[in-house]
Amino acid sequence: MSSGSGIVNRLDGRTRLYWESSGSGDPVLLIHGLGLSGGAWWRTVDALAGTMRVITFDHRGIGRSESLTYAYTTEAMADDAVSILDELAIDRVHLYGFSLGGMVAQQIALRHPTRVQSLVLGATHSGGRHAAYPEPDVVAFFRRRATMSSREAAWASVPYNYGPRSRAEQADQIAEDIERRLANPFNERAYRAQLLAASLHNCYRRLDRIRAPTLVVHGARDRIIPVANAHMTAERVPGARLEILEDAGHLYPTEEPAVDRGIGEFFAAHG
Amino acid sequence: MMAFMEDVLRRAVDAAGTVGRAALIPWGGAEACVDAYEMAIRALTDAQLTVARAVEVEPVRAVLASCAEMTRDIGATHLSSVRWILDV
Repeated sequence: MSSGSGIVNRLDGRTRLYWESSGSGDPVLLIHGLGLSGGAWWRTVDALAGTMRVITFDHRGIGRSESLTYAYTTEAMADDAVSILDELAIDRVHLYGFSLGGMVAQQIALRHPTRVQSLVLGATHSGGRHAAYPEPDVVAFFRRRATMSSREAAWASVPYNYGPRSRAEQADQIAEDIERRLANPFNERAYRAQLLAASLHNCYRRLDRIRAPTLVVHGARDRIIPVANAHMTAERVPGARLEILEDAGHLYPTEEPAVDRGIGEFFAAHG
Repeated sequence: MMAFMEDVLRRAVDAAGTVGRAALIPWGGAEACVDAYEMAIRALTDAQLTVARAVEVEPVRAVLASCAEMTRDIGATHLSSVRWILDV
């Protein structure tokens, strides 16, 4: 298995994007969610890197990446991801976006359709007025979270991130997730910028323009992005397949690790 | 009170969307107009980036690239809001 890492410098002279690559085979780009870094994909990287070249990166302003300003959009984040593909001389890629990363993946599929071999949209929504938004207590928590320390926020978010079964039976895995997350802290301004980007995201009416084979994956117990969004997305994207994980919450890759194998098979079927 | 305000806001956005969609019919409809605006934003962004790549003098290149990013992001913000209001 080969691995590497590097930095892409954007033309503005200040935006720098850190990426990592593991394994060999068809390339897959993993796009992480709100407030996380590329390192948050460690479980999925391990699952896919045996048969694929797995590329992760830190969004602008997060982890080892930097940004010129803290005002950006999912469009900007999509163009960042494509600049990493350009740097690595990759023409087409399988895309797997999770949560905010799923919104960025939708933008890539719409803005750069020739670059997308297949698409997995995990625990995400398409924005706009048709999206199903979380309960008010969840929204209030995420506003409050920006004022907490990283460790406090990571533990306080457990009831929102994980389903009841996982909280009862997977305490070790949750603790492991949090320790990994705390190893790559993010600053408050970047977090707020990502929240704004997610709030402005709006692809709902254009999902029917996506041509890449698409798999939509969602936990039925997701409190952050309600599962109704997965049904809406799968209905809008032509030919999309929907997989609902009945017992899982938002962070289903931890709760249902077997899903990564199914996602690998989906990529292989569309290689 | 919050629910009442949200309802008023939703009705106002719906009314604005109805008026906006009707007003854009002579120009091919709301969706065509928003798509054309999006294409214009992308063309302008790409043109600025092309010039930035060609100019090898700093800080001129960085300024041009930053302008391109602002054009894209401000345009994206407009588009998101307009798509929300017009529901296209």
